[in-house]
Amino acid sequence: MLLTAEFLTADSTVQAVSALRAEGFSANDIELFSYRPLELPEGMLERRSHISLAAVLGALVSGTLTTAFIFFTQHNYPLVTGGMPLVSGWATGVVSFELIMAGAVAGVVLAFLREGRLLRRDGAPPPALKDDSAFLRIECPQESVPRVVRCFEVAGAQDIVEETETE
Amino acid sequence: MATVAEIPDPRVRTELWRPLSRAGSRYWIAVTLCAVIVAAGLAAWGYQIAKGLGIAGYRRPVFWAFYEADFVFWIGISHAGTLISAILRLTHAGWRKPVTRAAEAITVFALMIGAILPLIHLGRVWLFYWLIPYPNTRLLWPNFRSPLLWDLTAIFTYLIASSLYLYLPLIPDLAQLATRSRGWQRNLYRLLALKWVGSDRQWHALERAMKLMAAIVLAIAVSVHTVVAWDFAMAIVPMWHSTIFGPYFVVGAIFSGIAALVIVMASLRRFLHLESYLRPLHFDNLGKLLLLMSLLWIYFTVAEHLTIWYGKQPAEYSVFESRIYGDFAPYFWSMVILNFVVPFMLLSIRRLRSIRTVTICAVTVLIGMWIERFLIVVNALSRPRLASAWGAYSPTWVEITITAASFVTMTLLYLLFARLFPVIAVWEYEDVAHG
Repeated sequence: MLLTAEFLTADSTVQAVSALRAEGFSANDIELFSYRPLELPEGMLERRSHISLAAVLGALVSGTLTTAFIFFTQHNYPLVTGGMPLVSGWATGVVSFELIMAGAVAGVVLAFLREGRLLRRDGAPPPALKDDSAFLRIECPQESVPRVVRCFEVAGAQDIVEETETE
Repeated sequence: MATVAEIPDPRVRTELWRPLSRAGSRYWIAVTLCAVIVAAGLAAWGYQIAKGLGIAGYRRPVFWAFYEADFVFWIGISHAGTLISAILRLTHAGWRKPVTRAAEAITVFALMIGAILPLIHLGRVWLFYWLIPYPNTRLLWPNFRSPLLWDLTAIFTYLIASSLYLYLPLIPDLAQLATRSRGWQRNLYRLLALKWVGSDRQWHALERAMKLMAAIVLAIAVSVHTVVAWDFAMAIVPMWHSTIFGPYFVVGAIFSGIAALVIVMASLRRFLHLESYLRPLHFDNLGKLLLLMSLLWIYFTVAEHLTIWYGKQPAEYSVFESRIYGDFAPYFWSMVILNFVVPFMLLSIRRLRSIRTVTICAVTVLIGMWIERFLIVVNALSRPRLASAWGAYSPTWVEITITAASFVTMTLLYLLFARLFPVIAVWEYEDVAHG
């Protein structure tokens, strides 16, 4: 089941999340929708992020490819140099640095798109955001519905909507 | 998340989105005028392509002139946005919020303009792809030792990174705009907003991505202008071959970037009626930054010239002499007055620091910084080592038209941007109207 509730203040939203966590629901079961980011106490809705790792990986991949490319171009040129490089390390460093940074940027953006599910979103459609409220959505089994509704009501939910996941 | 906690004031959104829904006749007159001047610039460029680079004012020994001065100037202006925005974001400067998007847009547009200028200078522009690494028929790859290839890589990276840095925090606003607009604008916003639904996962990912992007972009921005400085410093030309050119250029770039930001903010405040958002506090803080950069700039300028004067090496001293007492002295002293004397007098006294004076200083700094770029490029080239090879340069109408068009292109791009996208991030805006 999917339950969605609307809250008119940030405090009531925080209270509802807190109550749900106390009832044993994990952060992954809960999704908060708001027009602006709401500040929650640390650890309440913790989301693990791999964006930093993606940045490092992007930089490494791009750096490796750039170095390989420059190495290839040096050896691709049919000039007899007695083994001396055509390109100095210093000059290569400038180009490599810029492309390493470009790789890091690409890593950040791709990870952001993936973690934010910005390219593909499955499941029930999100609630229509309003200026003056936030929405909490929770995925739970049928037997937990009364407990969730109670948490929502105690926190001051305005409107609670039940949906089956196939809806 | 270190972000705002309360529900936004609907008035804020109404006011900030108002320019997107209607544009008066004055706006369209301004757009038309700008478009005409940009078209004149394109026509001048077309004429130059047809007739050859000889119709520019290039004469032996000055083969870099207006276009390079413009190029360095615009790359400098590009430091307005992303660099300033990144520094303010990383230092959690709360007052940055109404300022950052306006600044980030400047970066993207200035880079677009700056990147075109070397192509104009190429003459045979259709061969620009020779800069791109590819194996030609003789298996000759581009020269990785050439600062021009460094430029290409650095500017390309900076343009991509800055565009994404501008775009990512725009997504939440675009998603909201998509629900409130109609026709082609709705389709455009929907397309650009991707699948943004305002979930905490998305906010979290956005915050994380922006922090990392700020750090990366900061490194790129510094490297870009350093590379542009190395275009000059790697050449053994008197008064170019300097070890401090990298930081000197970066300081000048941030200096002119802040000035450009002040002018854009003052224009937005006046023409979009954003007085409640772009407040005296913002101009006061930017005025202080401008003053700081002015002091740094004069420090570097004195350091650069003092060693030349003290060393008195003939080749370098002849350039120095022409700059301080000779043909180029009017430019040099105008630059010092515009970049240092005026800002120092108006901005160092607290009582004199107002929106008007900060804007006046920003205008003088922009003019002064353009003169600085012109001096660096033309003055040094006109005095090569052999006195018998000295020469003079004067621009032609083609160069002047293209330069004017580059400035107007910035205005035109900004006019279009402000009509399509909110110039202040509404979701990021924190209680400014009441603060």
